[in-house]
Amino acid sequence: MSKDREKRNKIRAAGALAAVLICGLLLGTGCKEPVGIPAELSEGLRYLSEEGQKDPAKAQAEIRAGRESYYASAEETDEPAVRPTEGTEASSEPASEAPSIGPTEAPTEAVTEAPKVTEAAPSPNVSLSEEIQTKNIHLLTEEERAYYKKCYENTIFVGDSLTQAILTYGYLDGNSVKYIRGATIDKLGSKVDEALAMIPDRIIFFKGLNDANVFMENTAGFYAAYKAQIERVRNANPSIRICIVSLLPPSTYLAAVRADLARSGDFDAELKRLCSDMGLTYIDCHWMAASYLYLEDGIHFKEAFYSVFIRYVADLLGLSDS
Amino acid sequence: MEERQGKQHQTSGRFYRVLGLLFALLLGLFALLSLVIPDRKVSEQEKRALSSFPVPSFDRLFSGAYGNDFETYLSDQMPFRDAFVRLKVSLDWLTGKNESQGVVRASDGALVELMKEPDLPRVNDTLEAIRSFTEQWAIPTLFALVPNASSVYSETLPKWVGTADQKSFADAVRAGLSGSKAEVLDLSDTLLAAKGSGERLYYRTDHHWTTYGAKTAAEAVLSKLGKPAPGAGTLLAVSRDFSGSLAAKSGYTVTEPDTIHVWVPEAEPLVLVTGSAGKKATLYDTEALSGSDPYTVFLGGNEGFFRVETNAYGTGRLLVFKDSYFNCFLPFLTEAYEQIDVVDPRYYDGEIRDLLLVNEYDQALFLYNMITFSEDRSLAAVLEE
Repeated sequence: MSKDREKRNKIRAAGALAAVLICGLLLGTGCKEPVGIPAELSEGLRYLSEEGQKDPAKAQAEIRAGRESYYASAEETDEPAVRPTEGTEASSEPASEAPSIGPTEAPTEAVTEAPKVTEAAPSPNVSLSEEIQTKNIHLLTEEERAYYKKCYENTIFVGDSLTQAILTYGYLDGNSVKYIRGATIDKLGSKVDEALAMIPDRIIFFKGLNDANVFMENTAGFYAAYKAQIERVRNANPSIRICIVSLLPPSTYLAAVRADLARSGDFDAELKRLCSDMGLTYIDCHWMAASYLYLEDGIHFKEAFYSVFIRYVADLLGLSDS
Repeated sequence: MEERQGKQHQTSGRFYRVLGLLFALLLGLFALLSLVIPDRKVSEQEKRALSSFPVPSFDRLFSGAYGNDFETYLSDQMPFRDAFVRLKVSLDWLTGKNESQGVVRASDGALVELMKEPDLPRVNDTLEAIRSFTEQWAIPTLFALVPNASSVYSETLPKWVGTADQKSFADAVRAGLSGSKAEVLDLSDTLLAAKGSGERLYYRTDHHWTTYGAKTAAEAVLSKLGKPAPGAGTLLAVSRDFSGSLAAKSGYTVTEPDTIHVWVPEAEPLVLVTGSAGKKATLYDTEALSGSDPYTVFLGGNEGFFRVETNAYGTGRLLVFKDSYFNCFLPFLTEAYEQIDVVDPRYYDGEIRDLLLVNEYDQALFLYNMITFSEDRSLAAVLEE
């Protein structure tokens, strides 16, 4: 009897040992040994490392300049293969007037006072304001959307859900729209960095009422947080033009029940001050925020709003032909 | 006597109880482990995305598709999956089976992916989409079809394995696009002719072609596109211990790893690559060499859309639809085009229309390897949008 048990125990022990061995074998085969850099790879790896260190901003500038001069000389010699060049709008943008003027009821005071604002708006877009007043807003067609995506190729919107809607309505592509829903300005550092990696010509901050909701009475804190993001851009790439879209108020209905959001005007005033202090372009869109263009939440906007917005900003910044 | 029988009875009863308990424990353990162990998004060993927890919907639930989804999910996320794959290969080898996950070991030791018989009706849907694309947009279009190692090195395959005939597949593609504005270039002859050079055209451990294979094809493709052959340059090795997707997928151990080369043109072009993560001035991602898939050193892997701008001003703009074979092929095009817009339909979520409406492309190029193309569903979806 005890011999039987002994035998059984031996079998058990052997079984357990085998199981442990198999497990060890299974786990062990996954491991790899590290290898040093062999001599015959040094040239190739040196090439790759040089490649990796190339500055994309420099490459972009060189390619643009080269392309411009190539097609300029091609035009002179009357060659047929002439293409419209990109990235030239900075030089062709209209000379300065008041920097940000809405078509009809644009508040001119704060805007004209801004001394350091670098670039200016063209004359007010009468037809767009007419579209809003007559409630007869043209929604962008497929062709127009494609056209505006091209116009905004070197421009990036950074913001919250108001910026997201540009993407949601299909007006621009992901490369031109970096957003975090519900984010206050101080939370957008990662999106600013994503925008910077694209080496855009301009960054446009477009945010809604999250800041007013979170910063509450603290307009100075709001100003400082915004300034920090602007400096983040400036420090990384001073040649990027920075624009800020006005902070649009909540719908009158919502303003009546939400005293905190009703103070959005104070925050908007801070934005104007920031633009004036730092030489940014303040894009005044109050004239677009007609009550019928609000969604039911009183915070976000319908597609029609964005149809006007996209056309107006492209026009204002000289991105479109019109 | 009776006592003894009773005892035996008792022992076997206990034996069955323990056995049953062990069985239940094993089942329970794996169920528990798959709940506890976090889902993996990708398998580094197999180099593919693993399926994630399927979200139920009425349609899928009642059509039975949900059950299939769930089964795939369970088998993909099974605990110790990689170890079990290796175990299966060892057992297959012991029982004389020489194919694993559609991969065989060729007589020269290389791993070769076999091609399943193509689903021709589906392929024809894709070809129809290409036909109407070329008609709608009136762009001169070249369809470059790349054979796989199973065709180019067919003589090295074990005799009894089944792999689709790529010559006849290429003929089917050509027939499907006949009379359309797209010209089909079957690169089989080009690559077969290059075999004599002694250079490897395909990796031994990976399903991609080598940079040498891509270079050979580039001359043929560029000449079809009416462009000069790539200028002088050298192939420099950047990794010599590359173990690719086939080794991982099959679980076969490979004694001789691969070497990855990059093409270094003498007249170094200026490039600017715009992808979703930003801009780069290089076509390479050096860090990928030490990552889980060193082939992604080319372009940093597959992305839905990216644009390459070069200093080859006045040469024209090319729109490309491609699979990952294109990634090491692109460096041969930088002197021939000033703008190359590259769409990988498998990952693309934009609208082709938008690109075509505002970019004046001079030519379009489709570049696919035959295995991927024969199984692809995404290209038709992107073109027909």
